[in-house]
Amino acid sequence: MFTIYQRELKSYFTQPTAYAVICIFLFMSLFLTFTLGSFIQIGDANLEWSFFFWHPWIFMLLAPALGMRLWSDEQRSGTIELLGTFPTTIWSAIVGKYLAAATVWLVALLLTCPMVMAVNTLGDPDNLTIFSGYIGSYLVCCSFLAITCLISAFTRDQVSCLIISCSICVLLVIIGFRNIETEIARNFSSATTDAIVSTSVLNHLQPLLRGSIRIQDLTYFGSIIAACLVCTSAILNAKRA
Amino acid sequence: MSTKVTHPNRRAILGIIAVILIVIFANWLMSSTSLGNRNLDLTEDKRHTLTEGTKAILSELDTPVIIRYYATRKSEMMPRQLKNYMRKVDDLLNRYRNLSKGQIIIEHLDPQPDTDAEDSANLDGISGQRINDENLYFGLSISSLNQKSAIPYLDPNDETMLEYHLSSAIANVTSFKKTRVGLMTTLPMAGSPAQMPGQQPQQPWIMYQLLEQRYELQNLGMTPADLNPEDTPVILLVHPAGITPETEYTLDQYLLKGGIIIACIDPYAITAPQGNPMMGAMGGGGVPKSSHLPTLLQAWGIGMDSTHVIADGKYASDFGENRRMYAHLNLSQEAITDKDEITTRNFESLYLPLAGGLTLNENKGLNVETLVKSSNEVILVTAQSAGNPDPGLFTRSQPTGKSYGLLMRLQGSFPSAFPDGKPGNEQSADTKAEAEGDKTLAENASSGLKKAEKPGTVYLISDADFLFDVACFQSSPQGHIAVNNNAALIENILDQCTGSKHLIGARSRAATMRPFTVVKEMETQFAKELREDVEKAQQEMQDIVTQLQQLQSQKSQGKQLVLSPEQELKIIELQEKEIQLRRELRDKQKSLRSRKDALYAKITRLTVAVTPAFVALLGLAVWLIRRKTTRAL
Repeated sequence: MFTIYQRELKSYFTQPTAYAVICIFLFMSLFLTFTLGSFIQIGDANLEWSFFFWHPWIFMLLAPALGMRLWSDEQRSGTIELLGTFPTTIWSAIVGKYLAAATVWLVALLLTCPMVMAVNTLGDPDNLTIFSGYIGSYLVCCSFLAITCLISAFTRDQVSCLIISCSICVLLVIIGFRNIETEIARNFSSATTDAIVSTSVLNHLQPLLRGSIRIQDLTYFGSIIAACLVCTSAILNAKRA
Repeated sequence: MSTKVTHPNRRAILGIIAVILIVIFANWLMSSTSLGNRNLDLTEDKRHTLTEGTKAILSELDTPVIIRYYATRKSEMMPRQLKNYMRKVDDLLNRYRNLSKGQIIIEHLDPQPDTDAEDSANLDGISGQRINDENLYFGLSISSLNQKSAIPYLDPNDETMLEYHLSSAIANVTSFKKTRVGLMTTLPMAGSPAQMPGQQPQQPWIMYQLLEQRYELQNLGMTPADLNPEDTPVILLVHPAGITPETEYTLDQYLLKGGIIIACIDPYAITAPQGNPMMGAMGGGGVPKSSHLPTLLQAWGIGMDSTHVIADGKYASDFGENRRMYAHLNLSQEAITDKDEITTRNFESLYLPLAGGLTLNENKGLNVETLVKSSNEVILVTAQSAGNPDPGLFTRSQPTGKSYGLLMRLQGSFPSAFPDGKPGNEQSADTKAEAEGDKTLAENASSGLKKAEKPGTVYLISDADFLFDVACFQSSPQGHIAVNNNAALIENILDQCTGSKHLIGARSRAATMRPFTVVKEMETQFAKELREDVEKAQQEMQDIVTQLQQLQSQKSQGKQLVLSPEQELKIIELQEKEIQLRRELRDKQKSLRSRKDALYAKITRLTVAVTPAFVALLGLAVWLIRRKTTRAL
């Protein structure tokens, strides 16, 4: 697993793709913070609304862009068959490849450190709450990456994988919005509405952005990631058989 | 024996369905049980954790408390914001119940129209909110035996105060009688009978009447023999002018037993009754204007100059017609040191006329907090000179440059201010005891407490007049309207002190905004510079006006309506000065704006551009190297 992880990570950083994705992420997140996030105008050293608020929106587009080649590429080029001959299990390959992609996103998030330095220069922020925000943001990203990983196991076509993954991620984000919730509430019973709304990423991200790491939120993100990886394994095993 | 071989695709589908079911079950389990709500609170002020005060109140509960939780759940019209907040309230109530060891019973009620639950909500004082043409309920009724309290509407915008309100309500319903507040004052707060036949009796102060409605107010006089926190949990001490060492000793002993004292001491109490020289011989002496607690304050490490009051350049009151009174402090939100402090929360203004300045001279192991303070543009002036407007005060004298406490809270195990026992007794009793060899007498002489039995609390306010009618209220046909937060201040302090002791010092759980301090400092400095410039220019303009008046007075009777050339020159000079002042102010404002813009531009540039550019360059380099290597191959 570690060998696959290393090989994948190396391939990300020896090709311009990872740099492009990181660069776009950095620019978009910081640009949105200073424009729509009104960081300067509001003058608040908390990063919850001005900075972290935009992350799910960026991740729902960029995480599938980075993850779409995870298995689609292997299936298209036929290297998945070759992988079957290696003395390793499919599960190790899935985890190794997934962790490598997740590491790229970790680097991307760490590179937003100038934002933390800026708030510490301008004011007196609660740095542990910011750290908790980073954990939340990273968990959202990893969840979207896991969903992309699962979709890429279904299809050989990277574009299809990108479109489907993006759609699912968009759905998970927007059902947390009040207008969408109202619409759901008009068509479904209260219990069903609550169940649908509880799948929203935003509802589970918000406590983390406010410095509270709850077991139910960790379960939510952890279960999405684990389930997607297990399902990816089931699909790839079925395909190999 | 045959083995059933499942098709790989079917196996995968079954596996995926099983995983999805497990995920749904795990998430349902976590969101519906208290385990899922357990959290790691990373916030600096532990915003998501119950306070120690709440935990202490719940652990001390010895009678059942019933919380009727009215929430309209089966309505599609309930806004999502309220539904989300409902989950938080559910979670908080569960935590309360878990900590109360079965003493808290929660009854969930969903008041639908024309149901018993709706009637019960109305009886409990829970008001329905008209939202989207429907009457929706979302409130709490807290009761224990025959005591009842209600939070009529749980406002999501007041989320930060929810825990405090709930804990306070629980503490109130479990205490069974009106709390007794002991009043010690030399001011005529309770009114006075007519001095002469035909005269009107003096009405009690409005503040006194309000306190009398809410508490069992007991006038203790200025020389109570003994005070016990069990009988009188709180003492309101207002302007203790001429306090005797014996009374200070009584207060000291009371504090060492865990009492709470709210002391309003004043270097110059305007409301202190004047002595009647005509009745001097008949006991018509007034009350000294200055009050102090000389021994107690020294023992607590607190200082206050009882002969001088604070003149504050920033919080001066404007009485119109250029009558700027520096010693009449009109304090804005900026004077509140902690925005989350419950006693001063959401305060807009406080008015303290001729207040003294409190300082912490020495830390005596107490937890001392300054809740309201002056600015650092302060000059200490004598009360006699402070009573009149003095526009030139800040040009003649240099401010001290330090801010003074106006409201302080002291908590902890107080040291005794009378380590040698009751004043006046020690020597005589010791001598007697020595002479008579009576051990019991010697012990009695020093029988008072030397150190605190329980932690006590003192609120120190450096003014007493702020409680007087005109300082807090305005009369109107509808009754007395509070003109500032003076009344709210004393009510909040008393609420905290008479509620559970565990709530003293509680803070709202505000998701406080953390403003850019660097910019704030820049703006404060600018405002200070600006004020100095304006004052200087105004002084210069005033000088020109004076010169103009002098020129006018020198003219002969017939020529008074015609301007002399010197006067014309002075008028032009005055106009030029005014234009110059405006220009300077404009330039200064521009300069501050450009300084702020430069700082923001630098931060924006460094944050938005540097890292993406660095990553882009790195990516470009990798691409070029890769291209070169591929070509070489």
